[in-house]
Amino acid sequence: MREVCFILVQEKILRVYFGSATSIPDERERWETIWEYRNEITEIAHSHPGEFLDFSHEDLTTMEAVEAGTGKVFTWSIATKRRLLSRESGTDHLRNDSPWWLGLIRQLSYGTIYPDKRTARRNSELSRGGARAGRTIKKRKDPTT
Amino acid sequence: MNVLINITWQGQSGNYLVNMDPGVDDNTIKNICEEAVRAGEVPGVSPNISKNAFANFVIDRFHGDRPRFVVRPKVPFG
Repeated sequence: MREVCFILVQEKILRVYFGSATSIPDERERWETIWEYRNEITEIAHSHPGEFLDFSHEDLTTMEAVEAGTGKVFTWSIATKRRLLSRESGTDHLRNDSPWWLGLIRQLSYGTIYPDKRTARRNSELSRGGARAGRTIKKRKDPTT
Repeated sequence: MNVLINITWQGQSGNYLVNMDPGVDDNTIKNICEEAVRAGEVPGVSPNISKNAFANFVIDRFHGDRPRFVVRPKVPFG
Protein backbone atom coordinates (compact mmCIF):
# COMPACT_ATOMS: atom_id res chain seq x y z
CA MET A 1 0.00 0.00 0.00
CA ARG A 2 1.13 3.55 -0.57
CA GLU A 3 -0.63 6.81 0.19
CA VAL A 4 -1.77 8.75 -2.84
CA CYS A 5 -2.95 12.37 -3.07
CA PHE A 6 -5.21 13.85 -5.73
CA ILE A 7 -5.68 17.58 -6.21
CA LEU A 8 -9.07 17.95 -7.82
CA VAL A 9 -10.90 20.57 -9.83
CA GLN A 10 -14.48 19.38 -9.72
CA GLU A 11 -14.26 15.85 -11.17
CA LYS A 12 -10.94 16.41 -12.89
CA ILE A 13 -7.60 15.32 -11.40
CA LEU A 14 -5.20 18.23 -11.55
CA ARG A 15 -2.22 16.48 -9.94
CA VAL A 16 -1.35 13.08 -8.48
CA TYR A 17 1.28 12.52 -5.78
CA PHE A 18 2.61 9.26 -4.42
CA GLY A 19 3.95 8.70 -0.94
CA SER A 20 4.97 5.80 1.24
CA ALA A 21 2.76 3.42 3.19
CA THR A 22 2.40 5.99 5.95
CA SER A 23 2.94 9.47 4.53
CA ILE A 24 3.18 11.81 1.57
CA PRO A 25 6.20 14.07 2.12
CA ASP A 26 6.23 17.84 1.79
CA GLU A 27 6.96 19.07 -1.72
CA ARG A 28 7.38 22.66 -2.84
CA GLU A 29 5.83 21.93 -6.24
CA ARG A 30 2.61 20.78 -4.53
CA TRP A 31 2.28 24.10 -2.77
CA GLU A 32 3.03 25.98 -6.00
CA THR A 33 0.25 24.04 -7.73
CA ILE A 34 -2.21 24.75 -4.94
CA TRP A 35 -1.29 28.43 -5.01
CA GLU A 36 -1.51 28.73 -8.77
CA TYR A 37 -4.87 27.00 -8.99
CA ARG A 38 -6.29 28.13 -5.64
CA ASN A 39 -9.34 29.66 -7.26
CA GLU A 40 -10.14 26.49 -9.21
CA ILE A 41 -9.29 23.67 -6.78
CA THR A 42 -12.37 22.19 -5.18
CA GLU A 43 -11.04 19.20 -3.27
CA ILE A 44 -7.79 17.67 -2.01
CA ALA A 45 -8.03 13.95 -1.30
CA HIS A 46 -5.56 11.37 -0.12
CA SER A 47 -5.66 7.73 0.86
CA HIS A 48 -4.92 6.16 4.22
CA PRO A 49 -3.75 2.64 4.99
CA GLY A 50 -6.37 0.06 5.93
CA GLU A 51 -9.49 1.61 7.38
CA PHE A 52 -7.89 4.56 9.18
CA LEU A 53 -10.71 6.94 8.37
CA ASP A 54 -9.66 10.11 10.14
CA PHE A 55 -7.36 13.07 9.59
CA SER A 56 -3.95 12.71 11.19
CA HIS A 57 -2.22 15.53 13.06
CA GLU A 58 -0.03 16.01 9.99
CA ASP A 59 -3.14 16.25 7.82
CA LEU A 60 -4.85 18.75 10.12
CA THR A 61 -1.86 21.07 10.37
CA THR A 62 -1.38 20.95 6.61
CA MET A 63 -5.05 21.75 6.03
CA GLU A 64 -4.84 24.68 8.44
CA ALA A 65 -1.66 25.98 6.82
CA VAL A 66 -2.94 25.71 3.25
CA GLU A 67 -6.21 27.45 4.04
CA ALA A 68 -4.32 30.18 5.93
CA GLY A 69 -1.93 30.64 3.04
CA THR A 70 -4.51 30.69 0.29
CA GLY A 71 -7.33 32.33 2.22
CA LYS A 72 -9.54 29.63 0.69
CA VAL A 73 -11.64 26.84 2.17
CA PHE A 74 -11.33 23.50 0.43
CA THR A 75 -12.98 20.13 0.74
CA TRP A 76 -10.47 17.68 2.25
CA SER A 77 -11.04 13.97 1.87
CA ILE A 78 -9.66 10.67 3.16
CA ALA A 79 -10.17 7.53 1.09
CA THR A 80 -9.76 4.07 2.54
CA LYS A 81 -10.44 0.70 0.93
CA ARG A 82 -14.14 0.92 1.63
CA ARG A 83 -15.04 4.40 2.82
CA LEU A 84 -14.68 8.07 1.96
CA LEU A 85 -14.64 10.86 4.54
CA SER A 86 -14.73 14.56 3.71
CA ARG A 87 -14.30 17.71 5.75
CA GLU A 88 -16.02 20.81 4.49
CA SER A 89 -15.92 24.04 6.48
CA GLY A 90 -14.79 22.13 9.56
CA THR A 91 -17.52 19.48 9.42
CA ASP A 92 -16.73 15.82 8.70
CA HIS A 93 -19.16 13.58 6.89
CA LEU A 94 -19.07 10.08 5.48
CA ARG A 95 -19.80 10.17 1.80
CA ASN A 96 -22.14 7.84 0.03
CA ASP A 97 -21.34 9.13 -3.42
CA SER A 98 -18.70 7.45 -5.54
CA PRO A 99 -16.83 9.95 -7.70
CA TRP A 100 -15.04 8.36 -10.64
CA TRP A 101 -11.60 9.08 -9.18
CA LEU A 102 -12.32 7.09 -6.00
CA GLY A 103 -11.73 3.78 -7.77
CA LEU A 104 -8.52 5.12 -9.24
CA ILE A 105 -7.09 6.37 -5.95
CA ARG A 106 -7.91 2.99 -4.40
CA GLN A 107 -6.29 1.13 -7.29
CA LEU A 108 -3.16 3.26 -7.05
CA SER A 109 -3.07 2.94 -3.25
CA TYR A 110 -3.98 -0.67 -2.66
CA GLY A 111 -3.62 -2.30 -6.05
CA THR A 112 -0.62 -3.88 -7.63
CA ILE A 113 0.13 -1.14 -10.15
CA TYR A 114 2.39 1.46 -8.59
CA PRO A 115 3.58 4.24 -10.91
CA ASP A 116 6.94 5.36 -9.61
CA LYS A 117 6.56 9.06 -10.28
CA ARG A 118 4.06 11.82 -9.80
CA THR A 119 2.20 12.38 -12.99
CA ALA A 120 1.03 15.58 -14.50
CA ARG A 121 -2.17 15.73 -16.49
CA ARG A 122 -2.20 12.84 -18.86
CA ASN A 123 -4.15 12.31 -22.05
CA SER A 124 -6.44 9.89 -20.28
CA GLU A 125 -7.20 12.52 -17.65
CA LEU A 126 -7.73 15.18 -20.26
CA SER A 127 -10.28 12.95 -21.94
CA ARG A 128 -12.16 12.82 -18.65
CA GLY A 129 -12.65 16.53 -18.41
CA GLY A 130 -9.58 18.31 -19.60
CA ALA A 131 -11.48 20.13 -22.29
CA ARG A 132 -13.83 21.42 -19.68
CA ALA A 133 -10.97 22.35 -17.39
CA GLY A 134 -9.11 23.96 -20.25
CA ARG A 135 -11.77 26.58 -20.36
CA THR A 136 -11.67 27.25 -16.65
CA ILE A 137 -8.02 26.99 -15.67
CA LYS A 138 -5.89 29.88 -16.80
CA LYS A 139 -2.16 29.87 -16.39
CA ARG A 140 -1.11 32.70 -14.16
CA LYS A 141 2.23 34.18 -13.36
CA ASP A 142 3.49 32.55 -10.18
CA PRO A 143 3.49 35.28 -7.55
CA THR A 144 5.68 33.27 -5.18
CA THR A 145 8.72 33.59 -7.35
CA MET B 1 23.53 40.19 3.99
CA ASN B 2 20.29 41.26 2.34
CA VAL B 3 17.76 38.44 2.01
CA LEU B 4 14.56 38.77 -0.02
CA ILE B 5 11.75 36.89 1.68
CA ASN B 6 8.55 36.07 -0.16
CA ILE B 7 5.63 35.74 2.23
CA THR B 8 2.23 34.25 1.43
CA TRP B 9 -0.68 34.83 3.75
CA GLN B 10 -4.46 34.76 3.30
CA GLY B 11 -4.24 34.69 -0.46
CA GLN B 12 -1.81 37.57 -0.55
CA SER B 13 1.85 37.45 -1.46
CA GLY B 14 4.54 40.04 -0.91
CA ASN B 15 8.28 40.46 -0.67
CA TYR B 16 10.26 41.72 2.30
CA LEU B 17 13.91 42.67 2.06
CA VAL B 18 15.81 42.31 5.31
CA ASN B 19 19.44 42.34 6.35
CA MET B 20 20.09 39.11 8.21
CA ASP B 21 22.32 36.08 8.50
CA PRO B 22 21.01 33.67 5.83
CA GLY B 23 21.80 30.79 8.17
CA VAL B 24 19.33 31.85 10.84
CA ASP B 25 16.89 29.17 12.00
CA ASP B 26 13.37 28.74 10.63
CA ASN B 27 11.53 29.88 13.76
CA THR B 28 13.46 33.14 13.84
CA ILE B 29 12.61 33.78 10.20
CA LYS B 30 8.93 33.08 10.88
CA ASN B 31 8.95 35.51 13.81
CA ILE B 32 10.66 38.18 11.71
CA CYS B 33 8.08 37.71 8.95
CA GLU B 34 5.15 37.79 11.33
CA GLU B 35 6.33 41.05 12.84
CA ALA B 36 7.09 42.54 9.43
CA VAL B 37 3.57 41.75 8.21
CA ARG B 38 2.02 43.07 11.41
CA ALA B 39 4.02 46.29 11.07
CA GLY B 40 2.75 46.76 7.52
CA GLU B 41 6.22 46.40 6.05
CA VAL B 42 5.29 43.75 3.48
CA PRO B 43 3.63 45.38 0.47
CA GLY B 44 0.62 43.43 -0.72
CA VAL B 45 0.02 41.59 2.54
CA SER B 46 -2.57 42.87 5.01
CA PRO B 47 -1.13 43.60 8.48
CA ASN B 48 -4.04 41.74 10.07
CA ILE B 49 -2.17 38.62 11.11
CA SER B 50 -2.64 36.26 14.03
CA LYS B 51 0.01 35.28 16.55
CA ASN B 52 2.13 32.31 15.44
CA ALA B 53 0.54 32.63 12.01
CA PHE B 54 3.39 30.80 10.36
CA ALA B 55 3.62 27.91 12.82
CA ASN B 56 2.69 25.38 10.13
CA PHE B 57 4.66 27.06 7.38
CA VAL B 58 8.07 26.04 6.07
CA ILE B 59 11.00 28.01 4.66
CA ASP B 60 12.37 27.26 1.21
CA ARG B 61 15.89 28.70 1.01
CA PHE B 62 17.54 29.65 -2.26
CA HIS B 63 21.16 30.56 -1.61
CA GLY B 64 23.53 32.44 -3.86
CA ASP B 65 24.78 35.96 -4.36
CA ARG B 66 21.26 37.22 -3.72
CA PRO B 67 19.69 34.78 -1.27
CA ARG B 68 15.92 34.41 -1.37
CA PHE B 69 13.59 32.67 1.06
CA VAL B 70 10.00 31.63 0.50
CA VAL B 71 7.71 31.29 3.51
CA ARG B 72 4.92 28.94 2.47
CA PRO B 73 2.41 26.51 4.00
CA LYS B 74 3.68 22.98 4.53
CA VAL B 75 1.91 20.39 2.39
CA PRO B 76 2.69 16.86 3.63
CA PHE B 77 0.02 14.33 4.56
CA GLY B 78 0.29 11.58 7.10
